[in-house]
Amino acid sequence: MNTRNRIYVIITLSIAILFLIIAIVQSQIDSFSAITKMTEEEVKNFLSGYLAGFPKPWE
Amino acid sequence: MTKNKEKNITLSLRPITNHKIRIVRIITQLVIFSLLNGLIFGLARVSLILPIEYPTGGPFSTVWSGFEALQYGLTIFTFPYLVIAIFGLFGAVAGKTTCGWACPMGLFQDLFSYIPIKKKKVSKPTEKSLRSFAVFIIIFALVFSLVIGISYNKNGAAAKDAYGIWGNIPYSVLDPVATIFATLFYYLKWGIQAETLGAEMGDWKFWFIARIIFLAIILILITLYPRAYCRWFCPTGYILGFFNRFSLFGLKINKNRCPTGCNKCEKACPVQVPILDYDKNITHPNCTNCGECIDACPEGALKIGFRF
Repeated sequence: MNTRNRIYVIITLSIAILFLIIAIVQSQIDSFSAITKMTEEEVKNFLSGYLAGFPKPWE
Repeated sequence: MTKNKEKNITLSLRPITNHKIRIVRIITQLVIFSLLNGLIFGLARVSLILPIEYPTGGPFSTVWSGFEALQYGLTIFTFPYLVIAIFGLFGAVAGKTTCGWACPMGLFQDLFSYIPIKKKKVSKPTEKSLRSFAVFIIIFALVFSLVIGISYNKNGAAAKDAYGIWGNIPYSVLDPVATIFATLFYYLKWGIQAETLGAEMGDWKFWFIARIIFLAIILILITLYPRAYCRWFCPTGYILGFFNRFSLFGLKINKNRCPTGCNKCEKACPVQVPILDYDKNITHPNCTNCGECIDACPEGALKIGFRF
């Protein structure tokens, strides 16, 4: 492989990894916005799995 | 054991020992095909995008096809970061290896290539011209998806619905891979009912017949010209083939071990790569790293590996 092709590989991998990070961050932003838009009832349902067996302060 | 018996056993084993890579490749293809149809075995669908030709809407499909995800991303006016990243990573690391070792359509074409009919070859200029079909499919699918995406962005989901069967993944309406692995399955299972699928598909008869005709043409071509769909029509293959010229993983030829230039490698190559034209790395956009040339070479001049 010559130097030009090495540069192409490095540039392609860099762009791909950058886009992968952007895609992951974007999905996290979407998940966060979905969580922050939850209603009180939805939050309670969401937390019920973690709180099973413990006293629930809102009850 | 007598010498004759030993000789007979060696002779009977010769075809297997001469096709070591082919056997490993077929096993790999079958395992990956089973995983891609994992719903049969109780696996779940996962949000994984792979650069292969397999319909995402297939009855047992577990992953997203890269080119379908690319179109779908554009139809909802989203920049497809993840799909570009996947194509870039797979392409830069392995070139077109996924076409030869993982793609279900590749496996299907390989099975068709075993039909005992004399295979035909095309000249280099014709090969180059025929590859423009894939360019046309890519441009058509992406531009159409973008147009749908722009109207979706302006007028919402109703505008997208107006495109009917073309609204989500435009190329899937004619895609022969979708016809084989999804449409025909659904058609054979349920038929097309006017109130459900028929209504959804609009003028379904016309497009159903059109896609069957396109599939028939592809089946004839892949029987006569091995991997014809891969070489001339496949959008995923064309995109990955672009990366072949500088991919990290690929075929290498040692010209010092090839004094006679017997040409067995080129005869064995299913995608007509002019292997002997290359001095070191084989970077032809058709090469799927299938390894048929390695099996065919009596001098051991070819090998597959990293070439940074």
